[in-house]
Amino acid sequence: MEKREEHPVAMNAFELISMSKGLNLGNLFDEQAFKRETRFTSKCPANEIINKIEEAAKPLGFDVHKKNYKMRLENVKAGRKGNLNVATQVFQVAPSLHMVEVRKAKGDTLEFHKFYKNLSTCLEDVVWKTEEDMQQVK
Amino acid sequence: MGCFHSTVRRQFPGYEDPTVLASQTAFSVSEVEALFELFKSISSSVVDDGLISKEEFQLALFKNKKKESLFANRIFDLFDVKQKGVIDFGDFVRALAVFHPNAPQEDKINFSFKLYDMDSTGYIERQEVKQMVIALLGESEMKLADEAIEVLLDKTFQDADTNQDGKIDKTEWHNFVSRNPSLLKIMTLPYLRDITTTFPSFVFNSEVDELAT
Repeated sequence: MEKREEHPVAMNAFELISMSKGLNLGNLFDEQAFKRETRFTSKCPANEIINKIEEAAKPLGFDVHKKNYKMRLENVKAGRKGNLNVATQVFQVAPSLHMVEVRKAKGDTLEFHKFYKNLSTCLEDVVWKTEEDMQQVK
Repeated sequence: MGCFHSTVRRQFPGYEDPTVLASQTAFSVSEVEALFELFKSISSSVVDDGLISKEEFQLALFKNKKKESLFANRIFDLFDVKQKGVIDFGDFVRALAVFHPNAPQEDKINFSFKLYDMDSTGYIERQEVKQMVIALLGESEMKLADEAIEVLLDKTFQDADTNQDGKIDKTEWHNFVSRNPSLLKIMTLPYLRDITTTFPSFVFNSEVDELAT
């Protein structure tokens, strides 16, 4: 039985600040290739986030490996460029605010994009703000 | 011969020869020419004067010329080296050069330090970081209790402010960023490597003629 660390790795203030749309000059270029990684914030406790991600990934056909607040999600079925392999990690900004990184570790980026879309639909009650939300101009 | 550059220099104050700019930055001549295409489109979007105003910068970044942002203001100020309130082509290329994937880490670290040192005191003070965190939360419509913000700042400064004087100096920033390389992610634009395909420069036939003579 695995012992989990008490808290997720702390995220520092500059990590949070760097998510600002104003600091992402990639927006100057109209062409926005879908990134290989994205983030979302959550108000849920870290353990709950981990469990919900696992619950959401399994029915999508993904094997789940967990270690502390990191997870590896691997598609059982091979895709265009092998089995899609996704790494996620939960960071703590504050006890009431966590940042979840979801990153493509292996496989096709388009498939990653589709997977993330499906995953975020299932995680609606966990996700507070997606990176897209934060990058959108109000 | 020679008239191409003088015409351009009239229409674009601060225009510099792509060959010169290429020799001073990580860009190739064709990349600088491609950047000129981008510059032309941004600098003509509100007022066609060959310079990028704050409004035009905001328009390019946010697709909304009225959108004010603490962070965009900092970037604009750093691009506007001569503090004229506008960005000319030379400024544009030299600043973007720092964001090239091949630019020296040193340049990226220095730029990011200046970025966060909002009042240019040579230190990143705790109050400045607090201001930036609040700005980020505000623009993303997220709320965090003041207490939680203070804890976040405590942890950040514990990590970064090694001499515990309440501010982060250049050396501390260097060390901090070396331990946390993801902080420099915003300092690299992979798009700059493909810029010649995004902005093919058909315009510069005369550049070729210049070289032939």
